[in-house]
Amino acid sequence: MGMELTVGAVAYDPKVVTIWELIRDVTAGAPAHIDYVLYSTYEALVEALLAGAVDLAWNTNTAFVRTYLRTQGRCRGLVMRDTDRGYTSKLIAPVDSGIARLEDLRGKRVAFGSRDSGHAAILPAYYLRQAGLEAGRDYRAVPFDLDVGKHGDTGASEGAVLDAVRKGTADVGFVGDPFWLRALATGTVDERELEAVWTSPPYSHCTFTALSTLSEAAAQTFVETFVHMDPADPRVRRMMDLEGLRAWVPTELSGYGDLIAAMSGSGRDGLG
Amino acid sequence: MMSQPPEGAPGAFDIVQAVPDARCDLGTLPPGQAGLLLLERARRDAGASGLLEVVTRHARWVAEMPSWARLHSAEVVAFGDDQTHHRWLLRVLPGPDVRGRPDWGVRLPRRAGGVDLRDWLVGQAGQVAERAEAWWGLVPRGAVAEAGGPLWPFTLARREAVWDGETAGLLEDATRRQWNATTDIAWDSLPALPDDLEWAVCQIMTFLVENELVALYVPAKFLAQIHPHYLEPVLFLASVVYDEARHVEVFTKRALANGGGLQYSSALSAWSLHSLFVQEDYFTASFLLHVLGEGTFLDLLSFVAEWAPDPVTAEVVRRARSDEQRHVAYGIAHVRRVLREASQRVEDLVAAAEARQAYLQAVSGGQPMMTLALAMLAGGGGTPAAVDAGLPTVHALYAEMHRRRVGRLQQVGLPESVAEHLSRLHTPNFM
Repeated sequence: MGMELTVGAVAYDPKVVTIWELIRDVTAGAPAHIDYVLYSTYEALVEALLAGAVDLAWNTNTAFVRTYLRTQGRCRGLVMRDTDRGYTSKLIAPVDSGIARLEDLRGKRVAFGSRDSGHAAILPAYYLRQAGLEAGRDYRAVPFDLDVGKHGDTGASEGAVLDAVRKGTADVGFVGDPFWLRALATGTVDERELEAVWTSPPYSHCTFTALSTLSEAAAQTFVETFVHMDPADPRVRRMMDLEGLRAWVPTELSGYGDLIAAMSGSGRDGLG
Repeated sequence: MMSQPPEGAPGAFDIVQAVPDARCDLGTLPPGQAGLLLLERARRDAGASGLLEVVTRHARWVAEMPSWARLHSAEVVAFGDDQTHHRWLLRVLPGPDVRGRPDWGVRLPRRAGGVDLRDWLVGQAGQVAERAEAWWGLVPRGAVAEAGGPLWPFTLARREAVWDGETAGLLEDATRRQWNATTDIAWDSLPALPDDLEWAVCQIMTFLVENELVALYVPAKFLAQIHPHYLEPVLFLASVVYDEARHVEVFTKRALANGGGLQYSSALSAWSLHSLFVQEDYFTASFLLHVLGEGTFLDLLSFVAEWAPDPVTAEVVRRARSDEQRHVAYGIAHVRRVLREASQRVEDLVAAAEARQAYLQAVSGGQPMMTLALAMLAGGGGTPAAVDAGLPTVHALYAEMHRRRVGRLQQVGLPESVAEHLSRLHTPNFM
């Protein structure tokens, strides 16, 4: 007999319902039967997890770190998409701009995605600070705070960043590498116009998050259920295509160090 | 397995004892759609767990390849560069879109007549599986299917149920012998006929149109149920459907072309054809339609051609008969092979024929208009004497139909007693 686990997720797009109905369907006979509750923002989802309204939360990296900070580390990441490991942010500039390093952004207009997006705002600003650059003092931030609360899931703000650099309303901008590669692969970005001039260190992105109060047995069962999903099953394949993965893998916790550092202390959730 | 020579050495990043399964030279392309498309093909060519070597002279790829690898289920096994070239060796992880390698280097033989379907069972395209999986769907036989697609509801998905080696030849024959109901018939040579004979022809045409429609719908119904992996019967049944469409067209045209018109349809015909239309088993339907029905039609069409009062009527039934011969040959080959592999299925044929006969027993009335029309044709007119003179010829036709039906039933492998029994059960509607 399997165990019932309720996962909270954020409805950043109508396809989220399809994704979770498929997960609910494919796990019906699995060791962990998954049901789900959708929230409108990751802030609401984090509160729900903390309040025990759900067993697990399908979190962005920002939401995971928020949970981590709120619980003083008494939470854990269990499973992530294969594409959530080694995620990077890209600095995009016009081809032959002469910009090659973060230090070259002094005096420039720098476009960021939504202020709560780990990959398009918080981590880029953190890496700039590490390089000694502060917004307002050393560069001018051009923020695109679209779909705030969705932590960049919609990609809307990254699209705006690329547009701004293309049109020259920003000198450079930050996007996540999946968005960037998809834009190149589909031809929506002309590689003779824009290029990635800097790549961040790799980090971890989304993860299923549980509080330490979730039993070890439940956590194990959950992990087993997800990592054994077979993409040859049409339902699994469809879910994976919609969610952007090829396999579920155990969460790489070491990949959250930079974001924890970025979001600790100052209370920053991005550009401050 | 790998050695990495000192930086800058000529031929840096030579791979020792590792032969890549696929190689992608991106030349001087920057990371963009063109390069990513080439990479995507190379990844598939490398296959699951295969090694993919990527070479580029554009430095921008150095920052993009790790992202590409991560997002495309590939691991960077090694990376190296010299002054101008950057090289990666990647291992492609198993995934739903890397499932095997397609054929390359296959070439069909040439016959004098062109490229022939009978020769096309080559390479992976020629491997006809015992069972076709629902997820293969419309993927061409021989192509590499990506997993995780929809499940297609093809119910005829076993080789033994649908696939015969002889179908390819019949399909070539069908293609070669297509004709045009508008331009291949010498409509200008249609003479004015005495009313009785014109009526007889129109009555027969009416009957034929109705019957040919079931011969169109029944194969069309089963065609849509055959898994496309078994392409030959799908294509052949498509030709059957089009043949029957042409027959419906040409018989209707003949009924309307000469001052007559469509005449009477009988309830017996309607029930008989309905009993075929509702068949749900391809094997028994194929038997009832192609072997018994269309087989009997061959004799009917011969009769009409022989006694036709004008060259146009003779020509349209002669051409239709030539097509029907092909359909009967297909049915006989199909039923004979199935019975050879599963002799107990004889019982299904007997049961289907008996059930159909029981179904039709409830129908009152026979085929008086059709019988009269045939007698008028054979008797040369509609006078009492002519009809009376024509009837024995019609009775002889019925006897001949039975004799030849028994012959066809024996051809499919039925013992004489069973053949005799089934022929006697056959519908008085012929089809």
